[in-house]
Amino acid sequence: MATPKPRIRLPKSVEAGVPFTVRTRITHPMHTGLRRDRDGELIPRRIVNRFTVRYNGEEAFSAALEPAVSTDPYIQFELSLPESGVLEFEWEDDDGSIYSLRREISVV
Amino acid sequence: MNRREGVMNQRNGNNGLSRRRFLATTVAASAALSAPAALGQGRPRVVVVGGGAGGATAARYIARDSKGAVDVTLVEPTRAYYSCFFSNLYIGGFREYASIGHSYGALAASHGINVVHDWAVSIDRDKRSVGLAGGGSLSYDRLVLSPGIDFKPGSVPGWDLSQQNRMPHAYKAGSQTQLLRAQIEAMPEGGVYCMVAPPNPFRCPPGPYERISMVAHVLKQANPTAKILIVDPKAKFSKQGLFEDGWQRHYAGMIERIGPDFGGDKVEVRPGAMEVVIDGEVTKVDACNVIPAQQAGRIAAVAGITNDAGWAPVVAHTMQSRADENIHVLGDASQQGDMPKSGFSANSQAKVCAMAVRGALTGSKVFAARFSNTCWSLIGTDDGVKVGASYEATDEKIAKTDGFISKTGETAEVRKATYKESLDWYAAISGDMFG
Repeated sequence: MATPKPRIRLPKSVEAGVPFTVRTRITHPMHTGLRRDRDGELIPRRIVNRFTVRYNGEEAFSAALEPAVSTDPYIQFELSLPESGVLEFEWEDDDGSIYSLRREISVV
Repeated sequence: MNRREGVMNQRNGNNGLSRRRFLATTVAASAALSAPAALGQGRPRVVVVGGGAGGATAARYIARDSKGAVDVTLVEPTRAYYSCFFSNLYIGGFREYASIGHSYGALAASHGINVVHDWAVSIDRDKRSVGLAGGGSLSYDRLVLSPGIDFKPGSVPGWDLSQQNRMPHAYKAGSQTQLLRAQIEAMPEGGVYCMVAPPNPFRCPPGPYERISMVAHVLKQANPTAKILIVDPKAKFSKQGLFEDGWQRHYAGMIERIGPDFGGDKVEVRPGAMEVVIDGEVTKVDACNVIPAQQAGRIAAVAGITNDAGWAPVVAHTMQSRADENIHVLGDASQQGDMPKSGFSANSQAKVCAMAVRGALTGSKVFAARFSNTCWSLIGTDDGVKVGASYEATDEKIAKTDGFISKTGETAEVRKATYKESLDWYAAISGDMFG
């Protein structure tokens, strides 16, 4: 299958201490391990099992994902930041791959 | 060609046959001349601009049902009509190109319609005449405009008509459709096909998403590692649940749609570099199908009967323009209320219009307007879905009375039957339009 493609959406600048919305989505099949392919063989489990957001290197948000989560997981949450910095987003795949994105955000 | 002579004769007020000579082809001319000519000069005149699902149907119904009592001229620049409906099936390899092409020959030969292959470029509403690009003019008692759509300039930054060979729209069927299919076939292994989808309202609401299905169908066989990217300014789209379910079943992992929640409403294209910029992020693509925002075909604006949104508001009972009772507007170009812009809708509206025009010009009986529409879409082989409704005319608009839509989880037999129904419909509407 094609390489998972992560996307994020957040404001370019935010106000200090005021919560803002972050939307994330990654294209991923999220194989549960319970489905069978056309030949009747089990498709091995392969999901994104963990999603982490770090702000200036420190964990700001994280989520453990389970097989029940649908294809192309979409995660939306709020953050509030005291000052400008760097946000790093990481999706961890069962197969060991890590998909990451990085965004600088200015706090005014 | 004697087309200009014909116009001159008409202007000079020659005998009743002169209008009949106002024909673009000799085949059409000889056929039309065999129609009853006795009614001649005194007959009321109807000019129809645009030979698609609205215009061709209206011309045919007015000519056929008035039995020669109304003089009908159809102005259409192209000599062969390629239907936008079913053009996606050609892209998907389910139809031959020739099978979506139709001739205007029977409209002239069987119904005595003057088929003029020219562009209508001006309309004088006071004198009730239509100017043609070829230099002639046609006077009318009633004018029927069914010009379809044109694209709104500047709606997709970086794209204009000069780029349509590099990034085709393929949203007016014909060479553009063939070009898009060729570009999809020429994609490198694992390449990216991108569609920039249009904002509402636009021609054929499920059309872009049926096209995505057909492109995926082709790529799955010929280029299975290829990807499809939809950049969409709309939060929701027609038959979304049915399409997304189908894409998951047939083309899992192949299609990604970027809606406005991820910047799908902030897109720019760079045809030279084959790049699409989504909210600042540059993506390299191998084929790019740009379907811009739309408005009524230009002649409606030239006539001065369009609103700020670019569409021509009409009275639902008769499809008459709200700005001019001598002009009727059909199909995609009209702003009528609840009906989607589709070939089926235009065909349905044309019959109401034809009845109203005959009633006004010949005193024939006019019944209450009823409309219907169905939009079929093919998701994969024998996997057809549909959405449709019935409508009635109110003083305010064409109003939906009841509707239906396919469900997810239907059996393969039901889906196959739905697809079969669409094939029968295509044959039926083609006959209804072109005789």
